[in-house]
Amino acid sequence: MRLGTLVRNEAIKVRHDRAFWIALVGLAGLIAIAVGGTAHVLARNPNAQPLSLPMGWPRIVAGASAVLVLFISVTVILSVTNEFRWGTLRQHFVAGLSRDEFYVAKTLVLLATVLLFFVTAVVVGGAFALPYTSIGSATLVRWNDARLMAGSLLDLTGYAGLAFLIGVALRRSGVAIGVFFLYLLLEQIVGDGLSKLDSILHVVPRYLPSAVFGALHRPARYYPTLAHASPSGPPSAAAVLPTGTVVALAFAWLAAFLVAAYLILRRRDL
Amino acid sequence: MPVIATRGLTKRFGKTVAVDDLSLEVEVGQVFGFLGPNGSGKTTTIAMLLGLIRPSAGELSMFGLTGRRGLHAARQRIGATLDIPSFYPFLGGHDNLRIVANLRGVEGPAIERALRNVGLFERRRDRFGAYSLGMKQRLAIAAALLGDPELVVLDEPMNGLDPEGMQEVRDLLASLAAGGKTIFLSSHLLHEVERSCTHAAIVRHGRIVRQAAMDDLLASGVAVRIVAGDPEALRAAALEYPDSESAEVRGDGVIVRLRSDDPGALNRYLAGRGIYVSVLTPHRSTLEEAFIGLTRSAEEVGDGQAGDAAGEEAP
Repeated sequence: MRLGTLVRNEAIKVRHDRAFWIALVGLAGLIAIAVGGTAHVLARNPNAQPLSLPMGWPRIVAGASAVLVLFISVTVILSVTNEFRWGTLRQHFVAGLSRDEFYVAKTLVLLATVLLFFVTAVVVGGAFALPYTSIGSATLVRWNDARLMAGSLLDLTGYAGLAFLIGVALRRSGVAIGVFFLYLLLEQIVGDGLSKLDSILHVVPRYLPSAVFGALHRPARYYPTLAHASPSGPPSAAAVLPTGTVVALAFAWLAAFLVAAYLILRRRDL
Repeated sequence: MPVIATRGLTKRFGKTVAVDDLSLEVEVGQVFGFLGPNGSGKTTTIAMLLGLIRPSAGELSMFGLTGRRGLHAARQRIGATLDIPSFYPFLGGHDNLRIVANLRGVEGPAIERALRNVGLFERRRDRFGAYSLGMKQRLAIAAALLGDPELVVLDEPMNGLDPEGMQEVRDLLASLAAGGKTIFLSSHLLHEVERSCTHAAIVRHGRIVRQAAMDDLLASGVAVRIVAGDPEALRAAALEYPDSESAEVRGDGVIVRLRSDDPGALNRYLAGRGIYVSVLTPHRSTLEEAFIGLTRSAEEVGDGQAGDAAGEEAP
């Protein structure tokens, strides 16, 4: 395994990949519009607290989550499917890249994408809260904020793992992106249906991937005082599970996605 | 020890048999042509040689190495172009080669050398997506030659090249062969293979019809050129000769392909019909003629029997 070579090669690709940077700038722009707009509205409302740090982190992080899932999953799918579409995996396999090395390289891209996009969202979002923050009076990031951010990172990594698996399995970007979002929709519909049943099946939805990942970025989990606030939609089915269980389930789903992607890559022809 | 050896190599895609019981050997230093019409299984065979797809049955060894690990190690000694040149469209030629060079453990100067060798140095910063098909093909050849591989596998390398580009590839093949490299060249351009290769295998419907040294392949059957008055009348008479396989007017004469190796008997037959031959000389077949003859006889004999014949003729 030549980790240095893999990192160098992925760096060459990412540096020149205009689509990747457009996605990152687009994400930053969307976060800026959303958080900047919120900060402006709150600042003009005399009855509301301005969007300041560290109090604003739950709103910024949880609010960015949905758009981050969109950008990260599409970027991860494209990073995999483009290698099949352009035939570059075949070309590099012939030049000595093993299937294992390709898998590791793309897993590194997945992790780097999640981290870079998340940090971008946090930095851009935080920047719009800074003007209303009294610097020096308190710490900018509390323990609970750090836990929320870690939970969101795991949440996003889980979705990226699912996107990676679908990309490796389907190999075509349009189909893979469609199937990814269709899956999220279907899980929601099936989960809603099952949760209304009287049988034991009504607990199943809380263990499904999207419910588990979604439960990780809910501020109420990390800030008991904010239990009533839910800035990013209705609570997920897994909201009732203890944090330790949700984290363990998220890691289990992530591992399952990555192992399945590995097995598919190993067994199928290029 | 052969550089490439396959025994009973087979690939099925569902019910379709793309490569059927294919056995071939390529020795060190050979420039080996792998011939066949489009869809005959050439690219599938190459994909199996390179490990891109797994055989459904059969054995494969490269440099005497077998198994997943062995073949992976063997691939480090192979440079290859695929049927379609495949690089990142948003990267320049130089950056695309850097990625390949990193995988091969090759340093920067080798990239520039490779780009100069294929005439792309001046366009090295241009995006691959903006290259013409010929330029893409040349970049693929440059990538294949990075790291000085012992075996060069080229799948349809002339595709998209203009006559000048084809000549350059021909010269490149000649210089590689002179340097002792083994070359495995897949093509449907018969005259290119005839000009460049020392050995060849003809494949049809996934099966080898014949594998031999180029001289032996061209000497397949006996062909003679005869001249005697009206070529059309001569052709008609030659076709009625029981041992003639084919007769074709060429200029003022007729090329007759015989099943027997006795051209004198043809002369006597024609004289018996009042046709007196003024010229009767041996005719060296072109690869195209040999290819058509071999694939036509395989067609006549039938696929199953043709495969058996291939098995007998392949070394």
